[in-house]
Amino acid sequence: MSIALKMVKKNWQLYMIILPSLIYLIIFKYVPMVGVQIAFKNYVVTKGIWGSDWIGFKHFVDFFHLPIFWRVIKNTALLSLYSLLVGFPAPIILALALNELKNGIFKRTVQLVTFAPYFISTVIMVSIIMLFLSPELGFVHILADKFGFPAENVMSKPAYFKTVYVLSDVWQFTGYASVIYIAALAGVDPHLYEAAKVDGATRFQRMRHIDWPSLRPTAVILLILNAGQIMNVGFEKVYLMQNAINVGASEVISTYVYKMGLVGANFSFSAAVGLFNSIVNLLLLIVVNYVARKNSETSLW
Amino acid sequence: MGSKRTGRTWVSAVLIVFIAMFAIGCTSNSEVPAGSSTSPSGTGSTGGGADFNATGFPIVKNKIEMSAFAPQSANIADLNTNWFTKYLEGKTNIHLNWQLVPGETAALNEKKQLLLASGDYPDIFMQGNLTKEEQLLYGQQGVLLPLNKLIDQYAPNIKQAFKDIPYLEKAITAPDGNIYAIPSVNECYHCQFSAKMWVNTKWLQKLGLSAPKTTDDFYNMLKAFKEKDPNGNGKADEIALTGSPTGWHTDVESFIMNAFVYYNADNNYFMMNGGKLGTSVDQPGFKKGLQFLNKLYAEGLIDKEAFTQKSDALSQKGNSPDVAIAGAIPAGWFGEFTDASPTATRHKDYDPIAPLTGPDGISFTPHYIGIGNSVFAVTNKNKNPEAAIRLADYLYSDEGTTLSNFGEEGRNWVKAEATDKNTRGTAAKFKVKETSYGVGQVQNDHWNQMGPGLRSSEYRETAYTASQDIYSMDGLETRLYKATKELYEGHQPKEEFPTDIFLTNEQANQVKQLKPIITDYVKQSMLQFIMGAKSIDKDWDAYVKGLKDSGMDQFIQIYQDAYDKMNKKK
Amino acid sequence: MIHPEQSLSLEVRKRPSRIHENIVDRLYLCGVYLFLTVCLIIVAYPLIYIVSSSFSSSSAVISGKVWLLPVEPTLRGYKAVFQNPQIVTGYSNSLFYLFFGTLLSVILTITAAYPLSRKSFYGRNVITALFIFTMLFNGGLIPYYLTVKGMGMLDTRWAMIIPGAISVWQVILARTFFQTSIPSELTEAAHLDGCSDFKFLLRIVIPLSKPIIAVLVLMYAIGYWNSYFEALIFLKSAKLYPLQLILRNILILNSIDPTMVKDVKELADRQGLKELLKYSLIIVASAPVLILYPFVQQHFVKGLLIGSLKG
Repeated sequence: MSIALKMVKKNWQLYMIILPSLIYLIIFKYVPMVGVQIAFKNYVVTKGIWGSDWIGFKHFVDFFHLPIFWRVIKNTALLSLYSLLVGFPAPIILALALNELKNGIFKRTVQLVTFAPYFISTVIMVSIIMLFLSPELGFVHILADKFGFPAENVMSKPAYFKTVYVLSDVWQFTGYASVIYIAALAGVDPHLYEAAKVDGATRFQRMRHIDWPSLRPTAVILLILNAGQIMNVGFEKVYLMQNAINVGASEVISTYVYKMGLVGANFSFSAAVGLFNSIVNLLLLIVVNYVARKNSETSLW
Repeated sequence: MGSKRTGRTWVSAVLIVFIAMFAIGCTSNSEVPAGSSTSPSGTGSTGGGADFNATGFPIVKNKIEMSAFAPQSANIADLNTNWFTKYLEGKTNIHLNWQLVPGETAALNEKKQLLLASGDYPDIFMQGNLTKEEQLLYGQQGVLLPLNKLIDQYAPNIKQAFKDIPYLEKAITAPDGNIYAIPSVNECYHCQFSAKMWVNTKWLQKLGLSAPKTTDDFYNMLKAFKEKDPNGNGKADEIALTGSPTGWHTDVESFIMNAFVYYNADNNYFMMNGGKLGTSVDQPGFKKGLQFLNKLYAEGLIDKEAFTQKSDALSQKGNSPDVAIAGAIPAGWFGEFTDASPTATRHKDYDPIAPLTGPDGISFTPHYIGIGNSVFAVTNKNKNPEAAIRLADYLYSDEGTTLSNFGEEGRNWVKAEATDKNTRGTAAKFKVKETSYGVGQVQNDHWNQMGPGLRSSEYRETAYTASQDIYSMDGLETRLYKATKELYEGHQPKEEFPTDIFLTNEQANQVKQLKPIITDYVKQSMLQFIMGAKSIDKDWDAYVKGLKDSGMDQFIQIYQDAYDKMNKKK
Repeated sequence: MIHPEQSLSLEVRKRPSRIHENIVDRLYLCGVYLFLTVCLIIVAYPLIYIVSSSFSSSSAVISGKVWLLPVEPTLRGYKAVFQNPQIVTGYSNSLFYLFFGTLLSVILTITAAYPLSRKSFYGRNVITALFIFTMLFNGGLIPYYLTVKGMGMLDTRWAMIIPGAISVWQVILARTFFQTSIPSELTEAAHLDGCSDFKFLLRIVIPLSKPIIAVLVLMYAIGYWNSYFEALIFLKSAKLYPLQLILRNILILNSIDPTMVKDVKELADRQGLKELLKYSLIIVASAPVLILYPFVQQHFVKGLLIGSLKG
């Protein structure tokens, strides 16, 4: 292992640099991980994590045997994939478009305005959605009326649930998500554009051959990271948009567990569900990372 | 770097980390609270010690400290310097160390779970929102102390409340016979009959109609609302009947369905007959009710959005500018669908109507009774459980309840004059001054309904003043009281299934799995039938079968067992 | 780093006439402007609605009269928010957490990401994997709470800054940035000149990393400003509460459970205010960060790498 020692000595400064964050990682991320064992135990407060009894995979089995388990998994996965499909390219397109402009007021205004919706709380967001989609009072329907589409109550159609959810997410988060791409584009040497112009490239060609390759590594990494979040559909927005009619299409893992009242007292079960989600996410992450590694120069590891 | 070497270093690195994790984990055993697990201490054992006064005040001779869990109310400036806190401390000699959590229910519950689960809980819960399940779970684990003996020995007010309010004691006694937490009694009479239907009486007058009594009358009224332009603006913009699934009993189904079968969605659709529990949603009456609702919907008499819109959208319709557009709206009170500020006038157009009588002569109203979650509990960390129970007992007294909820005499309230009347129209005892509230105002005089207290219906309706002008905002309480008494009282079924039922852990787990499935299935099917997506004639049998498949029989059996057990004990 | 000149030279080198080139480009630019304008309107309209609603009277809001401009303008909603004495505490606490938290987070993130971006860093893959693992798995809420408790941080300001200091997501992003924007020739040149890793990081890498630092600052600042969860579980004393916690409390104050009412007038009065407050609260809560954004935007300017290759 003497080669190893040599490498360590050579890089000693880098190790020093990374040390504080490693310490943080161990204390606040790895030490608590010991507690994940409550997913395999019957946690009792007064016995603590170590004193509670082992029950193996019982929680997982219970989870899989829940009556609507498959439907809930399917809804969660579909919702995430749909979000990814539509929501992933959107910030890239926005960043590329903004990049064509000089740094004038219009550019800065668009950036600021598209960024702002990120701060709207979920509750308000959902009530705005419902307001705008209302068959009687809603903006969307007034427009649709003019074009001859009949007024429908969109919220009562299960088939539309995912679309409304995804499109409103795009509306709310694209500006925020585009920031990282805008920053990446800022790192491009302007001389490249000059050279390209001289060579006679149109704006579109410049975008294809300069901008996009500069964004690609970041985009690939973000895609991989997002793949690792597929099972984590957030609770609040889905819950607020759910109603008795669309529940078949809108019940996801987080809302179902919440309705079962298991968020609170039954920690072991929640831990088991969380662990299950994490494992699925990990598998997806590994697969997508592998594909990325084979097909591009960028990958997570 | 060769892959073999990377592989080896990977493995060794991971191993090191995992070993380190377990090592650290093994040594830190801070989560087990001292003196817990098996025998809960202080079940009236030592009699409180020499310092303790079994009767009279102060409660302890030398000042003691007690940590107390309570929500941080945005309305209270600072519980530590609050007038009532100080008054209480002066009177009882108990200094409360407040452990505050955010007031929002979800946040409060999350924090409470966390504190309980990590062993970091205080001496008492002053306002803990403890569900029956939590009471049972933590009571059995020894975290919450059984209070029976303590109440018996030191809490005369609470004991008296048990005598005066017949359902109280049973409602808070767990299956193992222990009382683990005490509620804040708040008998809101009009809330018990809150499935009210509010009808635009101005429109009735304009059309020369009287308040509908039967379902046929109701149907005709809605039709007239829709077709005869009662708001007189020449536009067919009237919405005959609207509602919302998210407000306080603003759902369209409850009021109307009760003219066909007893229907109580808040109590799992249960109905009781001769001690035997059943469900409303597979009865022939239920089918007839659905047919009626379907007819209303098909003829455009029910707002298309009534089943999906949230309460703020409902409010917008109730508050339509210039003229009213809504004819009939179900709600616990009119504030659910229209502006209730002092200058508002639209609400004066609406009055509740009595429950309708259906074609089979049925005329029920759902009865919403129950204690709900309890607020006060003593934990096994408390060194002075006797003093704690005496504290709670004081809050149950008339004086304690009044001062805790309203503040100081003279400053926040004064004794009523001879002519001041209460909600029932008889003489009131005291009059609340305006200083306690103002919109968004923060006060520091009282606890604003936090903590245990005894506000029985007797107290609520007789103690303080209420304006007799029912259309003024001051007279709101009177208005609701009168409507309830005159129109709704008496329409509840003779036999009712109690809502305060304790389940064992096993039962609770099963219920947790079944309840969402059954509820979702029923709700969805109802809407499909009402909105016409499914045909009541053709698909009814499939629906009933689906109900069985969701586990309805098992669900009912669980509650039947719990009910039988509860009644055998006493 | 990619050399676009090379890829271009492999493409067809069109040399259209100057007029043609201008038209194609102009059309493209027009298309871009059109697209962005549409985006602007779609996004801006609901925002304007929110701002207008927050300045309108509560009865106008509940009756749906507000469509574009404030109706019956009033500052009532804002008054209700600012009247609350806890607001000032909340604002100052949030600013405190934001400043120190962001500082700590950015430092930790960069010191984690930079070494990981160096190909010659021994053990790089292992350590990267260690980081990524924590993104997917965690021990759960209770162990996390107990750990923080064990460190003695409960109910202190540290609890708002330290436990959440590093977001692995940001570390990965920063690492990617370093990998693509710091050319290896630069690193080699520096080493040849005898520059140590420390010096290189401080004197050269960081000045070149303005865009990614700007992003990190923005993302972390927003995170700290919006933090609600950490405050909820770790804090007990009201004087440490950040703004978000207090704002939520105000909202609940005005949505009272009608069965809990003893003075119904109170309920009635608050009914309308609740609607109004929803909107005022958003403005009050997000204003500071929205003001921060333009300052950060400045750093998303092209051309910061000029001179590095040549110098």
